[in-house]
Amino acid sequence: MMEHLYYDAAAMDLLRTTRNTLSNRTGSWRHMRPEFGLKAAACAAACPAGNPIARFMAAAAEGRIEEALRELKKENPLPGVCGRVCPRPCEAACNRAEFDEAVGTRAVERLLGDAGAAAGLCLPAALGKTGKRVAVVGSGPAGLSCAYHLALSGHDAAVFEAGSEPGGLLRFGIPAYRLPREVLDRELGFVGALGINMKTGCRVDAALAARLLDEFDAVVAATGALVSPGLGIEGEGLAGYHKGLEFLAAANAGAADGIGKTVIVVGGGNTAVDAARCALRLGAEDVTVMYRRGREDMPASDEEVAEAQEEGVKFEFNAAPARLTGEGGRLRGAVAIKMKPGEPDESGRRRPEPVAGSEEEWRADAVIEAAGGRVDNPFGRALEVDDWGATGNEKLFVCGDAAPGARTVASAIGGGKRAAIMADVFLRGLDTKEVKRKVLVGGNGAASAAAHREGEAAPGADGSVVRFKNVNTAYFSMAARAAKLERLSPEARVAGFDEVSAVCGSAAETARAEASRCFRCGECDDCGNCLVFCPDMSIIGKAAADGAAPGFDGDYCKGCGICARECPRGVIRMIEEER
Amino acid sequence: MARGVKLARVEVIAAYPITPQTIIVEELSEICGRGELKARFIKVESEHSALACCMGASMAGARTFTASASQGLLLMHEMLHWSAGARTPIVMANVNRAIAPPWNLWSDQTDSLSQRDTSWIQLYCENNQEVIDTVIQAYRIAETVYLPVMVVLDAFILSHTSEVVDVPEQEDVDRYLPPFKAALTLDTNDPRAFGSISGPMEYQKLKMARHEDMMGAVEVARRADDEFGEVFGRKYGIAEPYRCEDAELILLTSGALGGTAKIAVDALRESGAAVGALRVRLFRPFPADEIAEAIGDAPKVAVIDRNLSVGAGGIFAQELKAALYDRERRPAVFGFTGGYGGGDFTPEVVEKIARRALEMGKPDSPTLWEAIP
Repeated sequence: MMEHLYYDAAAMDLLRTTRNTLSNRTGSWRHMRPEFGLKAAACAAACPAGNPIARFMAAAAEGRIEEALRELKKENPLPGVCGRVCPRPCEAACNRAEFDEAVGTRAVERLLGDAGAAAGLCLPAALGKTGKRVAVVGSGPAGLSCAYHLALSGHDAAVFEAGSEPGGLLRFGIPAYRLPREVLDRELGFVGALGINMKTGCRVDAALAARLLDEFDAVVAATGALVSPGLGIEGEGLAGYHKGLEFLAAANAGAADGIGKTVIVVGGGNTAVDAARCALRLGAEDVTVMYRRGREDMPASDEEVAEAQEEGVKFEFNAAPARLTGEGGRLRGAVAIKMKPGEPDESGRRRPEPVAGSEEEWRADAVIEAAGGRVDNPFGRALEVDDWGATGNEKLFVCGDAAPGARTVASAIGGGKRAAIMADVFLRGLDTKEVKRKVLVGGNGAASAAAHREGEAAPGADGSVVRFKNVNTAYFSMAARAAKLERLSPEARVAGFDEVSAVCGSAAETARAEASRCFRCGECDDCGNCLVFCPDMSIIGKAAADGAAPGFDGDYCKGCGICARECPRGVIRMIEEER
Repeated sequence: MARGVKLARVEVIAAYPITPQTIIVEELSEICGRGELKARFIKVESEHSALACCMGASMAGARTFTASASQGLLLMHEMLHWSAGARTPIVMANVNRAIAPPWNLWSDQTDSLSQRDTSWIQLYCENNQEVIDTVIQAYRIAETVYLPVMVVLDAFILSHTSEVVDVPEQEDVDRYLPPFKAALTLDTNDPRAFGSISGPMEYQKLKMARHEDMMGAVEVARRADDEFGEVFGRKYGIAEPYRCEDAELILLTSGALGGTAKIAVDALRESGAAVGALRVRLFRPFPADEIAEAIGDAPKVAVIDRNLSVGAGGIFAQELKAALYDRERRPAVFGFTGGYGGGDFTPEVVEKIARRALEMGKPDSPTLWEAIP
């Protein structure tokens, strides 16, 4: 209808500038600027093994299982092991826990590890050979991790194992109902496929230790903490008294029988609980874990304690054997005394004190001592070892239970990795401080061997960890946990050493669904929100394949912070501009 | 309303829910969700953002829609000025609802009428057929004069009652309403600043141009309605007289009250009283000439305002008085107000108002109450 303009076009043109505004470099107004780049997710910062959780979740969420496994194996050679026995510090730190429910990270790790049965090695690329030879003493989780990362860094690693098969504590200390042997053997096989020379049946004593230090370019001691301190009470010579690790080793080797009907296990850690559960499986009918402190002080994992209770293991807290009783050299029982919490000790826990006159005799066919083991390092009893595994001897490193720190499989894997990085730094003559500054996930967590190999900074190495407050939950929907464990009935469990738990449902679908729940904190997935919301069109580039975010155009970015606010996963943070 | 928006092939919808508007945007979200309308439906955190969203989308060349009511419309106030000043031809539905306090969900035109100085064109609808037709016309008007249009309907009386409606055919609507073309286009490769600072000359020129274009919208709205009639066989006019010939009194109304007034006029004429009705459909620009012409020689006009400018009286009464002041024929204007917040102005109440006006020689007060007990 309208044959002429019904508006004043010339006047309307005054609504916009006549020239383009590129000459107005609004970036000069800025006093804050967005800082892009990989941040550490709270879970990764809490993982003692330094698992790249957000990274492998990204691939797993899209069903790219092999890629996910390869990402995971850049840091951790034993996902099938950790996916079963880890006490899950990642899930305790998971930001999603404050939204609906923590992501089932351990279950995804387990499913990825088990996918290795079909997927095969999925090993990350190794650096070129250096010709340097490193001896690793001990093939437990620390020694394996160390040898693995040394091999990936191009060094020739030789592992010396006292036992007849590799695996150390994983083999003799963790029962098959928690860690099936085929899982362990498969992952050991993958580590061996890197060309690591495994010498089994070779106990390294002080003399051999000295030779290794002479003959190898570097030596790593991952000898564990296997010396039982004993109970230090009367009656330890009686038949029917067992040391926990020895009992577990025999049970796990199928060589322990005749434990008796009534068993008392003394201790409060996972070794005690494992010993109790093994005793049940070996025919004991009445098994009690006796612990000198209360339930809340028990170092054993809640999950294990609960499973043990389901199976019929009883717990007697605030009690300790005062002496063992016997007849004719054979154990008859233990006189137990009640304990009460006293003043706090150096660990912050209250030191148990005996309650006078509370002695009571318990009848038992066996008493198993399961207190923590002590270190007996053939390279020196009183070695000073720092957090990185370095010692006074520049070519000697220590990791695992033989070094100070937490005693979990994940910690051992992390420790082995730190020692491998330090050995590599020594062998290549790198700057130790520079490397230490760059490789810690979240600046304070485990080391990233991948970052070290690639000469890059670990996610959040500068201390930037994505917490719940940095996640923009407007972009996520509530979703119930997809990965759930199902367990055998208690009766079926104690009938043998079959694995107790299994992840419900189809492995591929469950891994995908659970990984889809992951916020992937700190990982850019190129969602484009920053690009859409930036009022100055100052977001440039696309996300890199490794999850690093795009950058910004400093000429025009005013530092308003909208990009950081709208980033779903905390990749962008605002920092003060240095001028 | 939602069906009309769909027929207009709107491309961006941003809205925040508020009773009694909610059903409109709910229906639209479902239409979008079912893929029947290829539009981006943007959930926002406030009405202020809703209109800001529409403004950006309109500047980028998209046909946009939002809807609100009462407090929501009031929260938009800043953006109402801005969107009109930026000449973005947004169409909005406003469902007239009382303004708190006290909380009240029923009709009261004060929410939209208090936006009369924002440079928005306003169209008030009598029934649901007119609602669907008007929203289609509104895009035609808005995109011709590059000013935003508010399509106004009474809370519950129209928003929550069912009527049989003739839904226009899509191909007819497409023929009537061509795709939107922005007057000022955006080009990221040649970025310009919009609405940046200007001197007195530019400011005045823009304001005057906006006024002139708004005044021209009377003709645009009339022709948009005429051409609508050609395509769809229905038209409303911008002011609709009803049995005004030889009237001694004309009842001036707007919105749904227009239909009530027609029933009252029929009854009054039946009883021998010479009463007509005039419904104002276009408000801003105020169609003074059409209204003066429809009033003709009638000596009295009773304005029934379902709104109140506190301290001044009914708003249509004020507008009418201002429009008539310079004319030779100046009837006595009786400014009745009431019927808001759920007060039901039935035909009987309208008849009573007419009889009061007929009995009075001159208005005994500028504001005449007709409260419902």
